[in-house]
Amino acid sequence: MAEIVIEITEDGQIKGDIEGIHGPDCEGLLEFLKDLGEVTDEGRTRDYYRQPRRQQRGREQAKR
Amino acid sequence: MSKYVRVETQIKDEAMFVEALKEMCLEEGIEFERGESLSLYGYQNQERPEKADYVIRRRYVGRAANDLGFKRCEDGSIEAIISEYDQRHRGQKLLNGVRRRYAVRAVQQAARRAGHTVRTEKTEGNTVRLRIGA
Repeated sequence: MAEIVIEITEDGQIKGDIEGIHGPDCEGLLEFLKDLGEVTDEGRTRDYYRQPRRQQRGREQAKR
Repeated sequence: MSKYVRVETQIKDEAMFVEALKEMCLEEGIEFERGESLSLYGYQNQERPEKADYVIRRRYVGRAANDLGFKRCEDGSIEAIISEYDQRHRGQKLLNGVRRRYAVRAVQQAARRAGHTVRTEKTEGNTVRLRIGA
């Protein structure tokens, strides 16, 4: 399940991470946080570029 | 995790700031004053040049502390006035407490406005974790 996990640190800084979605579907999901202050860092992790699994789909097609 | 952002919270909503300040003061068992251009006093009870609209008096901040102030800026944001000494002592802890409570409220409100559902989790220490349905 796709989630935005946000941690508010002891001194009130905001750390927002996207979990459960990869690639372009992530874009824009963290935008609402940027209005709350000054963005000090942002980026994509290796997971962003991960290809979705195709193996299971291939098996389903083989059954048909 | 596929994408991340880090934001230094700015206090932009005065009503939400007041809620955060009240909550922090209640939990710490201290009080604050509200007014316009209130004088701030230093650890020797001398009047300092800065003025503030919300003040936690030094007797609540700690021994040898100065008043901790919050000033409304022209753009409507709220700026903290804290001495260098107090940044290394309890004053910073109180200021962090206000910022943290404000940030939680600001994130919850922004997420709901963006159409997300918000779940708050308790964590160890003073960190707060929110899970937001994307």
